[in-house]
Amino acid sequence: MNIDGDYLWDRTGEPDPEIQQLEETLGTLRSQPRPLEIPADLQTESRPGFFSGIAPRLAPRLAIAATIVIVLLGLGLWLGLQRLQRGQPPAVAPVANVPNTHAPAINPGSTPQRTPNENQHQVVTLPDSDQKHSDEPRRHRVNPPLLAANANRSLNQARKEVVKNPQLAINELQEGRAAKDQLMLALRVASAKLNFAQRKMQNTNPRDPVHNQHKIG
Amino acid sequence: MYELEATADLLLMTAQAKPSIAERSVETVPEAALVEAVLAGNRDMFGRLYQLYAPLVHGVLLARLPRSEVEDMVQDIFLHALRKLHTLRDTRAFGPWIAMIARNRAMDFHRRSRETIELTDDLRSADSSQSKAEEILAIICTLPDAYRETLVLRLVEGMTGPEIATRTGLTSASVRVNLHRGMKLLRAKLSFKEGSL
Repeated sequence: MNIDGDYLWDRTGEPDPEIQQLEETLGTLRSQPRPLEIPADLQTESRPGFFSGIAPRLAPRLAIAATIVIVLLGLGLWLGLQRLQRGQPPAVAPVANVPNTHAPAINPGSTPQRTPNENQHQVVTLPDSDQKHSDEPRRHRVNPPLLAANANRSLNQARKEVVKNPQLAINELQEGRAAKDQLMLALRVASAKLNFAQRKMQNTNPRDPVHNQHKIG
Repeated sequence: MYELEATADLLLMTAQAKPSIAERSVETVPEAALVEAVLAGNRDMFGRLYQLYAPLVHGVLLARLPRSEVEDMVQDIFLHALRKLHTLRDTRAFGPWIAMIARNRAMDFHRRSRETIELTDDLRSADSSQSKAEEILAIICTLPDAYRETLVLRLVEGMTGPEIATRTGLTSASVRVNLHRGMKLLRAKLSFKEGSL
């Protein structure tokens, strides 16, 4: 009996009598399909679009994510505009009557001797935390409670930044800190909204017993 | 031993099923056009799909279910397929898709009906040729899954090896191996049965 012949594969070559006999016998069981009766009320669903498959579950989350992105973009744009409006600030914020802890001590009786390095860079002095620049117009409003809470920290950080980079004015740094705080506040609000929406979603959607089997059992 | 071989073959076939479909992308696949037409709302085209694939579904079910259940199940599966056709991502893969639905339905059937019903003489067909065919089919159904499905499609439904590969999405090599190994086992079982009688 030729098992490896082609007849079993594609009915070519020498026919295998045993296979032929099996075909003949088993052929009586062959499919004789009766016409398919399609009920008139059978609903065929159309091919889902890009959003339709995910809409029921993910649409609220997508909306929240899009809102966050828009808020962030808006903040970035606003900050950029503020910077443009501010123009080029003076390189030095001259403030008198404030002892500079980082500057070398100057004897009032003698003329200050400056090193060549000090001649190139002007000395930056830092204001006290309670000193205001009332003569300068405020360029933008900041959140007073937030600033009050972070005033000391911001000022200390600003001082360090000024020491590192004497080209920056203290006002600029404070404004930058305030803007950063506002941004953090906005992010916190957005995060809280996201959590709220997620909690709401979990409450509205009935738990799927199949997906939560590990929790049940 | 054979079960292990069959399982390995089945895994091999599953892994190779996708490339086999991908290979067909260069060819014109008529069923893809039919599926697209049905999705576009032309239900008459589904009748053509039914004609093309009813033997495949029938064979897949016949290898797993009692014969009395097969005809109704074929209809059910096609109606289910029509309802869920929009979930078919690759329109060229209608055959493998509906074959998988048929296999799952057969498994569901066995899960639901745990108790086995033994055939008595009263239930057997009076037709001797059908009786003989059912005996052989019963022997085929004792073979591992991969072999019995391929053998039923070849010997009962009359498909050739390349047709089986195209319709089921399996590779030609896998189908060839299943046919030859299954046939070898069937011959051994048939000769054993004839010898014991």
